[in-house]
Order: sequence, then structure tokens, then C-alpha cells
Amino acid sequence: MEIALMAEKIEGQDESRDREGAVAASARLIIRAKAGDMAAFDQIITNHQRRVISLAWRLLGNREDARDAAQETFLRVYKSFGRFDPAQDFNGWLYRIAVNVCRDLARKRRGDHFSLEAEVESGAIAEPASPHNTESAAMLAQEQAILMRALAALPEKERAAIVLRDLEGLDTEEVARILGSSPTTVRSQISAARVKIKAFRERFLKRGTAPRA
Amino acid sequence: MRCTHAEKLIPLFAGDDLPAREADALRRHLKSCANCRRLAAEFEESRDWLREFAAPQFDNEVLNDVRDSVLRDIGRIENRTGQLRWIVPGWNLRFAFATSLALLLLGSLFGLMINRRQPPRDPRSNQAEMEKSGANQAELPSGKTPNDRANIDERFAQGKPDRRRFKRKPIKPGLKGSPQTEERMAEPDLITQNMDTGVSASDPSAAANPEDADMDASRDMLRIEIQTADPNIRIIWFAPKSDAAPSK
Repeated sequence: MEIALMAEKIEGQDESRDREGAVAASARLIIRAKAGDMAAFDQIITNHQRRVISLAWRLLGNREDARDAAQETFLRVYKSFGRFDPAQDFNGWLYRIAVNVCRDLARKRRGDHFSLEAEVESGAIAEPASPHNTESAAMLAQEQAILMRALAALPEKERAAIVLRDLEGLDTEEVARILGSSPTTVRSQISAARVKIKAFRERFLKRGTAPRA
Repeated sequence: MRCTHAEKLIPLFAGDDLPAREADALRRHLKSCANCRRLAAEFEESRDWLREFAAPQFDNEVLNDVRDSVLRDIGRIENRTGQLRWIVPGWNLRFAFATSLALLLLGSLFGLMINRRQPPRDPRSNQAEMEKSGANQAELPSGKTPNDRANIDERFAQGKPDRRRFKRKPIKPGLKGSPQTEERMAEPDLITQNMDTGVSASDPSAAANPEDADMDASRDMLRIEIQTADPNIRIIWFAPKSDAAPSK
């Protein structure tokens, strides 16, 4: 029993050591990229682009805009690397830039870009894969469509708050730092967003139809 | 805790976003209230449903394409910056922009300072200069020129009436565009008139105005008229006869 506990403790220590190692490696990479090392910056893009593009897709609702937003995010990171303090949290800074880019892009391309047909075509939303299991797949597609519409129906700030909190898993203080608001404001935005999403879901799932795109 | 208050806290409670004290108070309320307990369960279900919503999988081709585009754009930025550095070597763009802006501001301030240092024109010396040189002054419709004003004041002081007259030289009849009119309009006519005698030097057809004889004989002023191209506009001025007497 004691040996098992000790093994667990060592494993925990190893994990934290690994985490610390990863953080240190990331910090070294950032310092090299800040100094102008393009290979280091390339590695940073590789490490973070999946997360950035997923966040952009959740905020903007379509693949093309998500790609453009991810590209613009890394360009802005490159241009403002000189002002970044390595002691800061890089992830939080990256998220802040990505959210601002998505907001600017959404304002430039005003209009509802959550197109269900376009997203099904591009493979973002699952189509009924098999004729034998169409019902569950169709339901899945329908639910995804409802969710996309629910997010699209939220005001910009509430959408950003709920995506960062519930989908990206960041805590409220971190979300507040990224959005440039106070934790109280962020909590209020998250609360309002959850109420609206719940109401939206109940309305359309009870009806059994997906909202029109 | 009341249900109305609990309902406001439940959306945050479902995501563990309530401060510890409020969360404990709500938990105690939920133990005793079935409605609020059901509401909390619905919110948790909605949140779980939201969290199942995964972003689409972007394949490596898309990610490589994004990375290549970013590196290409960075290369273009570097080239452009390099070219500009060739123009302003050793400086960065911001410094160059700030320097040029500062130089522009300094230049404007310097120009303003020089402009302000120029001595203001003294109206009295200006008038004296004009009197000396016998400068021609256009007679305004009101008839006020510095010389006239001095004379008028003097006349009023002496109790004499203002005898200024606006004498229009009669325009010779002729069609517009006729050689006679065009000739008249081509050059302004210079008419000099002796204030005392009322005789026009260049236009013998102009009759001497008998009212001119009323003017004070002691004043020996030369009245000079210029007819402009516009037949309705004539410039008249007075100059001391001794100083500036244009040739008749």
C-alpha cells in the first residue's frame, strides 16, 4: 500500500516535472522567436495553430473565416512580438489576439455566416454516414446546427465569454484578462449566454426541427 | 435563500463559476427546493451538450497551408522593411516617422515665430508715407479717404458744409462693342481737375461745376480721376497740388 502511494507520488512528481519542463521549453522557444529566430516562430505556429483555428471557427462559424483569422492572428503575433514580455502568459496573450482578430473579421463581414449547408459540404458537420444509422446521425447533425445557431444568436461579447469558458476550458479570471473585462462582468456575460443557449436548445429540440440557416 | 435569487445564481452554479460562499448557500437551498434542483439539472445538461460540440477537425493540409501563408507574409514584411531601412539606414520605421513628424512641427513653430516677430504696421506712419508720396487712394463709395477725412473734419470744424461731390463723367453714347466704347474701355482715362477752378484737364467737354467754386479757395488740391474699364467705376483721389500734379 505504501509502495503504491509512493509510486503515485513519484508519478505525480514526474508529471509536474514534465509540465515544468514543457513550460521551460515553451519559454525558451518564445525567447528565441522574439530574438528573430524564424525556426522557433515556425515551431510556435505549429504548436498553437490547431487551437487558434478551432477557437476562430467557434467564434466565426465557418472554415474560410477561421483560416483567415488564424493567419491574421499569427501575423499580428509576429508584428507585436517585440512588445511581448516573456514573463507574461503566452497562451493568454495569443488568445487575446485571436479574439480581437475574430471580432474585427466578424465586423468587417457583417451578416450571418453560420451556413448549415456550407458547413455540411465542407465536412465540419457530420452527415448521416450510413443509411442504416441515419436517424442518430441526422439527429447529431441537427443538434450541431442548433448549437451553431445558438452561438450565432449571442451578442459578440457573450459568445466570446462562453466559448472561452465552456469550450476552451479557461477559468473566469483568465477569460476576464483575455477579454479586457472584470471577472464580475465576465460572470454576468457567461450567465446570460447559458440562459439563452438553454432556451434556444429547449425551443428547437422540443420542436424536433432545426432552425433555418 | 429565495427561489428568485437562486434562479439567478443557478446558471453560474452549473459551471462552477460561483464564489464558494454563494455556492454553499445555493447548495443548501437546492437540498430543500425541488424546482430549483430541476432547473440546476437542466442547466448542467445544457452545458454538457454545449461542451460536446467539438470544432471540426482541420486536416494537416489546411494547417500547413495556414503556416505557409503566414511565413510568406512575414517574408514580404521583412523585404519591405529591409528596403525602407536602405533608405533610412540604421533606423527603424517608427523612429524615422517620429523624427520627421518632430521636424515638421519644429519647422511650423519656427515659421510662426518668425511671422510674429515682424513689426506691426503703424497706421499713422502708413498715412504719413502715403501723404508724402501723394499716394493714390481709391475713393470708396462712402468717400472716406484719410486726406478727405482730415479736410472734412476741418470743414466741419469751421462750420462749412461737406461739399464733396461724386462727379460721374458722362459716357459717350455708343453701342456695346463699338470701337468707341471699346477704346474707352481699353484704357482708363486720366482726368485731372483743379478743385478750385473745376476745369477738367483732359476732357474739355466736362463742364465746370459751379458748386466747386464754393469750395475753400485757400485749398489748392488736385483732383485726379481714373476711369476704369468698367464705365460705372471711376477712381477719384485728391493730392496736394504742389506735391503731385500729374501732367495735364
